[in-house]
Amino acid sequence: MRLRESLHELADEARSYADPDAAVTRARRRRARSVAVPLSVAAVVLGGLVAAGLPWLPAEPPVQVDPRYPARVSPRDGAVPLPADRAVGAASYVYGRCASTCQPVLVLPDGTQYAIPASPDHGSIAVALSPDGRRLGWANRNEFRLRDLYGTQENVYTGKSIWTGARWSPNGRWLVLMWSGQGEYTIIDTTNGRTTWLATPPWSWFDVSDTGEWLLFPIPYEAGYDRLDAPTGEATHHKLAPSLGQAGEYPLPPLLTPCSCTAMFPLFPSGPVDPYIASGPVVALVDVDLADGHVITRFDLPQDDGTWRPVAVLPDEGVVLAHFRPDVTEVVQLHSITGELTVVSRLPAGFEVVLRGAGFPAGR
Amino acid sequence: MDRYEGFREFVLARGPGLSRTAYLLTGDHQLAEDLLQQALTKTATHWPRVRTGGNPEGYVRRAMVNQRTSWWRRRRYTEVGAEALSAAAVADSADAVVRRMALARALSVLPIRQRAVLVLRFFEDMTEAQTAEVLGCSVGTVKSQAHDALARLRALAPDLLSEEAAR
Repeated sequence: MRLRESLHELADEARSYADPDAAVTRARRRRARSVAVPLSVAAVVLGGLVAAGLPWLPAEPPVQVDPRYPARVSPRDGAVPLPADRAVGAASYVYGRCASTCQPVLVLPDGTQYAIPASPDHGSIAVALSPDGRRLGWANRNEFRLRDLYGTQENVYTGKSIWTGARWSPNGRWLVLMWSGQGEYTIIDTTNGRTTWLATPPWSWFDVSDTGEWLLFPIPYEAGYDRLDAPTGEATHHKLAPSLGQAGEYPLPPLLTPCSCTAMFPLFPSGPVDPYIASGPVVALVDVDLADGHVITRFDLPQDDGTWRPVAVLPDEGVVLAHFRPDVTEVVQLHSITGELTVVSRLPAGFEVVLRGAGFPAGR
Repeated sequence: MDRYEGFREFVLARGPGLSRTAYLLTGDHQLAEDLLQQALTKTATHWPRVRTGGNPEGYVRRAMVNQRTSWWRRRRYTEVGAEALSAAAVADSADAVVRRMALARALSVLPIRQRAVLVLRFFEDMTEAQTAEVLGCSVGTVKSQAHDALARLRALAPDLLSEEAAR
């Protein structure tokens, strides 16, 4: 008689001990206590502070719990490799400390971290995470690999030259890869893996619409953009309002919104320099109607000790931004209607991050 | 959306298997029920995160092992399931009863962690790496604990391990 069989024989004596309803009832009580006690303590502490007339309150707003993000991430060396033989589920974002090279690390909503096997010869985090966190793409030498994190499928894409950039449509269906900056693009329909090859004059920045049928290319120094029809390869020029911001403010390459009918332009107060090369503090975002070019809304960003990087406009999250401060890096959501800012995750300062919906290069 | 959506279905589907594990970890029906229900309560409390993590069954197992260790540290429970064994003896053959009693008593003298290693490795069929993950220790620790546990079982109930020793 083997030990395994003996254990199973002994286990046959077990009864059914599992009662889901009782467990949920206890969990509800436990949660009620865990919320009620800190709130009462906080009320007492806050009341004491106010009564004492102290001139300060905690400077850092509390992290908003969003099930798509871990509230706080502690980067660690030697994260285990992203498993190739099993699903890991949707990811929250990617981080990495970029010194000579960047080793990107994938973060899941429960805080689990996996090292991404990206090629280390890029000076920044050469990955692209889909708006829903389900698909992760990264460079591996001259290839671009796209992994479905809901499973184990991994597709490999190659171009006529080296991969240099990627952009997601706001709904995450389309991923456009750019090769070597020579005007070569691969448009991928992630629902079925089909690809379309597109050769055009080279542009550095672009966005792809939710239908995958056209790409938007901003034009430096001009109040306009080019719209490239993917099926035909024809480009049409479109004008915007003469000034999207206030005097001295310059627009950066925009983020297409989920309707693909407006675009969010970051503004930064610098010039006259090339805003596509220079970096500066983003002070506001303006939502621009692409049909007639007028500014619909302006969202001013708080000017504190940090810098803002708007990354994408997502259907369920609004504008997602990275906020780099001297002591902390924050993942922030900006409500597309109210302009309310919500911090959903924090990690230590000094880390580069690639958020959901971000392409590569990530900077704006 | 209900915070506990899917929890009931999960427990109904996996409850029988988890009950068996709970029983082997404790050797007592009452303790097994307490152990599993506490683990399920903990799981329900964190259900959105656990469900997103994709391995709720593993979470419950880990919670049970940790809880069992916690009980042992507090010395609240020291007895094993002799009563349950005698009740089951009525309907079974004498040989089977003797085997189960021998195994139950041999398991009862093992340290909690060694017992958990045996249950996870030889009942749950987990690899050493998976066992280490559940126990929150290194693979080397799992190996040494399994080795020590088998050695003690071999001394206490040599018939149970006549073929296991060769594995």
